[in-house]
Amino acid sequence: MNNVVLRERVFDSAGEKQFFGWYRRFFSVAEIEARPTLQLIFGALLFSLLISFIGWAHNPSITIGSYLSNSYVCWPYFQTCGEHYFLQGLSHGYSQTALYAVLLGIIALAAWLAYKKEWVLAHVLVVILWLWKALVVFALTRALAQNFDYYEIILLFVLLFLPRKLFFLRLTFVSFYFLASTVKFSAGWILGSYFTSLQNGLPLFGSAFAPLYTNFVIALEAIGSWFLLSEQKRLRYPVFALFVLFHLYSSIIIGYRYPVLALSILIILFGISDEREDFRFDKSFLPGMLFLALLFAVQFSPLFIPGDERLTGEGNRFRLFMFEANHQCISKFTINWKSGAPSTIVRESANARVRCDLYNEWFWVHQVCLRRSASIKDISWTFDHSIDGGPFYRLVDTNDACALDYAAFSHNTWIHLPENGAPIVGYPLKDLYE
Amino acid sequence: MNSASTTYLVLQETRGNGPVTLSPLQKIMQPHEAQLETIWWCIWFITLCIVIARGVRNARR
Repeated sequence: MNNVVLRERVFDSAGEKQFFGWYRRFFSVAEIEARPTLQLIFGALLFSLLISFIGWAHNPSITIGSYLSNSYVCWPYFQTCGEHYFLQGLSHGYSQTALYAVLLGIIALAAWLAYKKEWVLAHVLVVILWLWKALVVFALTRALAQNFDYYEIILLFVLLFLPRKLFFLRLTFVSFYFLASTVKFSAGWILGSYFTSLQNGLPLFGSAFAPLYTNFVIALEAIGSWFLLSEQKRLRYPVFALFVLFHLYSSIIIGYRYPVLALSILIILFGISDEREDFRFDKSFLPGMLFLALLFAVQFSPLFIPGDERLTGEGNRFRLFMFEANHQCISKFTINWKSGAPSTIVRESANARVRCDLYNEWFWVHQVCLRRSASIKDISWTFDHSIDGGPFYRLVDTNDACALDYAAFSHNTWIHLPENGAPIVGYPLKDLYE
Repeated sequence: MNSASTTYLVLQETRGNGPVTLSPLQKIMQPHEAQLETIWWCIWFITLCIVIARGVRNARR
């Protein structure tokens, strides 16, 4: 076979052949070689990586410049991430765009190898792309960690590393819907106030009967999603069609990025593929089952932190958080200098989809404190946050923001919770989805 | 939702927008929001149990 010849021509020593033989077995690459559905998923996720990197190549989030200008944000569990930045973005240098030129070459080569059905080598290249993507999203910055990035990283993990790939891709994709439904169990979706607190209301349908539509979406995700796994077409296809419509509809406000990824995977796994994988339990199912159990556990990890994570942001981004609430916020800093008049900085957002992460504000002011400690006497800070058209709660009110530390996995007691008396400082006007 | 003495916090981008109000349907549902949330959690958990039970049954077949 040509595909074997190609690999063995390039890597022809006994050691190399032995290594690739082991690699092929260890990562179950034979499953990709044998199943057209997995090959299509491979192509779709490779294309999705390309879209990601198109956006990232000129994004300054992980550049030395963003560190120096304090416009970066690390994860709470790795707050010194900026000290590890090594790329210079345009116009300060070429290293970031040079790196993405190399990654573009890897994507093109992986696509060509896949076309040639040289799946082991294509797999190796996509592992490199996956490692970079996961490193950026979960270690180097929080600014590029969108939910569709989680989808891409998780689905690629299943495709690249787990045995029983087709079975677990389907189960994982359905689990995404099922888990995402839980972030909608709140007033924003049950009453539909996420949309009725938008100036433009719910797209196409208006606001009068918004709760009917939003509860239908909850039902579709929480119950209907499982019918995608049915072998009976009369059960699977109607639900499949509803999800296709749902994604097309959602693109009216959220744009193409997520619907393109979700629709392509949905259509390949449940629309055009009739390949089935027997579910007779053996040890090859264990890694996938453990992975899914981990996914469920991480989704519910914010429950162990007191307070509403949609309001406080604590633990919110560890899970699928897409469309958990409509946000408005005002963050006000007054910097008292050791000499000279105080400076006031107000940062506010009325864009429904900007999460108003209190942590981002703390991270910014924490960096200011560290970098300007010689000239700053103290910084007072208030943070007011409203979700789903509800009241603005003053979650932070301190005269010394520089004295605050942020714990990644537990409640920060300096964040006042509504149930513990965080004062209401006002009510919002309708906001925008931008 | 808000009383006549409500203080509105007007952001740069919300200037000129109307206050957040509830539709008649939302007004009916709002007092029961907590119960509706609990019902959804119950439905979700029952669905999960059914899925696991069917999965175990299929695995043994």
